[in-house]
Parts: sequence; C-alpha cells; structure tokens
Amino acid sequence: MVNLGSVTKSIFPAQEKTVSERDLDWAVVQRVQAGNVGAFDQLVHKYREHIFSVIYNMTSNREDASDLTQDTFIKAFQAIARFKGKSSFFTWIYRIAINTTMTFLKKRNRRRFISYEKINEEVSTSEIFERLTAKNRSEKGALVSELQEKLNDALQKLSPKHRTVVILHEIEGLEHAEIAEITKVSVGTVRSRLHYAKQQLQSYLQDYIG
Amino acid sequence: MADTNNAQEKEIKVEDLLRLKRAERPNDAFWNTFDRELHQRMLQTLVKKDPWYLQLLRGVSGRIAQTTAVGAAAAFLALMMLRPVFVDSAQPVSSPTFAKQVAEVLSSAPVEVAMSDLDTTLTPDYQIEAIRSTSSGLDVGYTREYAHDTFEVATYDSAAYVTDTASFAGTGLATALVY
Repeated sequence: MVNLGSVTKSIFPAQEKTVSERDLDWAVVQRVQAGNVGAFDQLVHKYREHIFSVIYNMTSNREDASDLTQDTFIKAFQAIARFKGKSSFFTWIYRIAINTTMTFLKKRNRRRFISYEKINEEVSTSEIFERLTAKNRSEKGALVSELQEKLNDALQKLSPKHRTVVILHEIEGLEHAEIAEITKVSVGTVRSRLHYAKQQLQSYLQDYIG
Repeated sequence: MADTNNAQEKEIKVEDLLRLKRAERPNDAFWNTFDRELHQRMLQTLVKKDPWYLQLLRGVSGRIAQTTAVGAAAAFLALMMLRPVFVDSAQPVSSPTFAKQVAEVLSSAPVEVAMSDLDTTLTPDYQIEAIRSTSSGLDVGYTREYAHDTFEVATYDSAAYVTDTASFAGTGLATALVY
C-alpha cells in the first residue's frame, strides 16, 4: 500500500521551500538575465508540473492546460528581464499562471470542454482509495473514473477565485501566506475563501464523505 | 487485513478527496512534446522582431518625447526664474487705473487752439505742457516749459539768431535752443 501523503510531498517540494530555494531560483534568473537563455530550461523543468497541475485543475481540460502552461512560461521568459527578485520566482510564475488562466476562463465564459488527464495508477492503491472502495463497495476501476468526474465537476462549480484558493492549498499544498502573495489578497481573505469553498465541495461530494 | 479495517473506520474528508487530484499527472511523452513546443515558441519569441516601421516609430517617438520633455523642463525653469521680472513690470499695465488713462489718451482727438485763446495766466508745471505768451500780442515769441529745458521761437530780425536763419530761410523763423 502506498502512502499518498508521502508520495505527494516528494513531488510537491513547494511545501519544503526554504530561503535557499528562493536564492537558487534567483541565481538562475540572473543567469537568464545575463543572456544565458538555456538556463531558463532549469526553471521550466522545476515548475512545469506544478504550473500545469494548477491550470489543469482550474480548467479541467488537459489541452487547454498544456497551452496555458506554455503561455505562462513564454510570458515569464519575455518578462524575466524586468523581474527584480522582490518576490520569489516561484510566487511570480504562479501569479502569471493564475492571471493567464483567469483571463482564459473569462473569455471561455460558460463553454466548457472537459478533457481529463489520466490518473496515475498509484492512486488506486492509496489508503484513501482503499477506504472509498470499501465504503462504496464499488469496483476500483469504475470508482476511479467516477470520482475523477465528480471531483472535477465539483471544482468547476466553484467560482474561479474560490477554486484557485482550494487548488493552491489542498492540491498544491501552499501555505495561506503564499496564496495571499500570489493572489494579492489578505491571508484572512484566503482563509475565508478556503472555508467557503470547502463547505461547497462538501455538499457536492457528500456521497463520498464520512 | 487489520490495516484495511482501521482504514475503513476513518472518516473521509474533502481534503482527502482533493488530494487524489494530485494523481492526475501527464506522462513523460506529454512532457517531451511540451518541451519541444515550448522551445519552438521561445525561439520564435527570440527571433521575432517588430516590423521596420514600428521600430522607426518607436525610435522617433522616443526621441521626440525625450526632446519635448527636456524642452518643457527648460522652459518651465526659465519661466520660473524670469517670473519676478515679468510680474514687477507688468503690474502697472495690468492696473485698471493706468489702463483707463491710456484709453482716454488714445481715444481723445487732437484739438486746435488759436493763440489768442491761450490762457496767459497759466503757470508752467512739469506734468502737462504749457504754452504761454511771453509778451504783447505783436510779439510772437513763445516759451515752452519742459522742466529744465526751454526753446524759444523768435522773430527773423533778431540779430542773436542770425546764424540760425540759413536753415529756416523759407519760413522766416529762426530757432535758438537754450539748455
């Protein structure tokens, strides 16, 4: 049995960010600013999965998420000369990603094309999934698909602002203060949005909770 | 088996369900394509330049803006430095009393006055010109008072003015300027 918590912690180092992490990024940024374009690849490889994850969960469409993730890195690349290092590169790139996605969602309006990403197999062996299977007495494969659809559906029912906070905190594992910095709202607002969003999700997903 | 039973007893929360979303991850093939496409787009960004007319426009507008800003700043400074001079000299002109006096002078038409009408009792002053008769009616010599200077218009037969008659031969008048 795989403990999903420990797996996710290793693939989401955002939870373990330190000052040195910020310094490392800043050093790479300075190399890019000095003309070493290739150094930008390091930043892309470090953050592409996190950025993609945020955008994918915001849009529930893997093709849109792929395009918007690329857009995010292109925008960052074009603007990196102006990046002064006042905030961390991590905060900065997340902010670009969120703003790019928000603009996209506004243009998309009510039209929604769902295209889910394939769920990693390790989820079916996770502790949570074992409990869900036992609780619902369903076949694992069917439950995975059903749950994926229900979760994405529930997230899409939230407003983009509430969705952003939930995704950044519960899926990306960011702290309230980090989310506040990215979204440029107070920590209190982040907490309040998170509380409200969780209440909404609880009502949408009550069949699986308890 | 005991582990499974314990797991079933635990409550499932929203947070637990959301954590499952972390497992929705693209595979390596996806990232290979992603990297290739991103590199192409980055190259396009590097190579892509604005059309020549946009570059020219940007250059010219930048130069114009720069020149205008410097010129405006210099003009402002000069104005601020010269302002007291303008203010002092302009004050009387802008005074309503002075403007009224000027308007009166400009609007008044010249008046012809016969010599016999001149008031002989006038005393000279230094504000307004006074022309007065200096002797009897036969004597056509007049004195004009201009504060410190006086000039007399004298008759032709005056020996004192003979030297001046040449230039006034046609008029029969001689002029002597007395300072």
